[in-house]
Amino acid sequence: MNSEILIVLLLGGLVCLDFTEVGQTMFSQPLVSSTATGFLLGDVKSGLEIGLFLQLLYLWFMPVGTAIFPDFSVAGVVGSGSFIWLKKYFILTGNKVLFFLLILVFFYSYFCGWLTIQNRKFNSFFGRKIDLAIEHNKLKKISLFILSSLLVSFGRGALLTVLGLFLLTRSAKFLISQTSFLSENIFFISIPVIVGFGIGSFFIFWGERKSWIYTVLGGLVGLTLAMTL
Amino acid sequence: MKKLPKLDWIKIFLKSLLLQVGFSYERKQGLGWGWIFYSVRKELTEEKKQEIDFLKRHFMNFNTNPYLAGYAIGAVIESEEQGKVEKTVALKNSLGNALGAVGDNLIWKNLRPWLLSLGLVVSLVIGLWGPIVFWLSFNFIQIYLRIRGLRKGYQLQERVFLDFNSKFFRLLSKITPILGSFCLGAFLILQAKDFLSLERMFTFVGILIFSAISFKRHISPVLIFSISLAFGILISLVLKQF
Repeated sequence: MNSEILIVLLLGGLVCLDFTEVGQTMFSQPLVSSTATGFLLGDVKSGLEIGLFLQLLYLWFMPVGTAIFPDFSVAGVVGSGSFIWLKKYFILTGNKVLFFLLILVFFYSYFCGWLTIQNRKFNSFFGRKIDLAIEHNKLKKISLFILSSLLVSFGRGALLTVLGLFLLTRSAKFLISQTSFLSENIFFISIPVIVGFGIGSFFIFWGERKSWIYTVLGGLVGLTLAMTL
Repeated sequence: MKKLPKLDWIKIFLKSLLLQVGFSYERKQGLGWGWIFYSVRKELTEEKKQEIDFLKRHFMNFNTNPYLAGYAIGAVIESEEQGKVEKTVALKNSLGNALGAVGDNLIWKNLRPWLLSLGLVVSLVIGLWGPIVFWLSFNFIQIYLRIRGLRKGYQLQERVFLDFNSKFFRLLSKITPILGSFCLGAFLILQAKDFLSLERMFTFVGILIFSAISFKRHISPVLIFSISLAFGILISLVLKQF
């Protein structure tokens, strides 16, 4: 378990850097990061499964503007890590687990987003320090401040991921035990809810009537694939 | 007139991947932008006073779409080589905002959702290849855009927007909504085949229509998500009674 915590810690820091500071390669998208988490924790299938649902939760998100936003980079790793831990260490699986976990991850990602904003406000400090370094002709210090700002972001992602992993695993376990009187059948709707929400959010991008014809064509291909698979 | 050595362009490209380092609401990508130019300050200035002024003007406020920033970087390097300080600052500011608008539309509203929907479809059909296809295809395009941006920005300077009328960009902006809608349709059917029971299909279709309308009307995603969950549970409880 210790090595798993270390893996998640590093992965959390890396996805956090990918989300804003370094490269924006989309490694931080839940579809990718959750699968990577699953791979590193030894259950790639579960990682991909939860990654798909988490991706549907955040399809609508565009990093434009400065309002509070969900930090899906940390959410991807926390969500898949908790899902795999609940399965591996507490033998908890099924729709009830998925239902509670997705709700917890969704709201936790907003907390992470709020902290990202605080981090961005704090970065002004490095800006002022760099201005002073230029003013006093201490140019070598600039690299140090840039590196420090990278470390702060990495640290934020790493700590939030490990904290989230423990918090969400415990909370999900607690909620599942407290709702044992509710039948698993009630939670059968979890997947249709998430998928309906995700696909619905796609319509912000391609909701115009002129593109409906391509959606129908895609649907026909999907039908063919569904029948052959 | 100074000229940037070819090897330094590799340095510039690699550092452009860190454009958003130290992102703050005060100067946005200013620190990342300054950090890119910090590495070539000696090549583009002659004396210490010039070097200090050079750094001061590049560590100021800047904001654009990170994937298209190469256009602004290339144009500003050319202007710095010519030693036109005033033009440099004006170029940096005007290109930053305009490229931001173009990039947000191209990348966030078209390219990313299309490739994500492609990744989701592939995930449903052949599993693990989904994330790999998405990640590789996105990075292939984004790296191409960054390199093309540096080259075209340097060549065209303030006329960089001519490049967005090129065949490549016209094709990209034309095919992404088509392919995106196509993948969306395929994904929708591939998922819907798992919801063949009455209660699941009813919940799925109801929430799909509700969230599509709500997202179109810019209602908060938190509210849409909460209502969707409540609706799902309600449907489940009601249908269980019959």
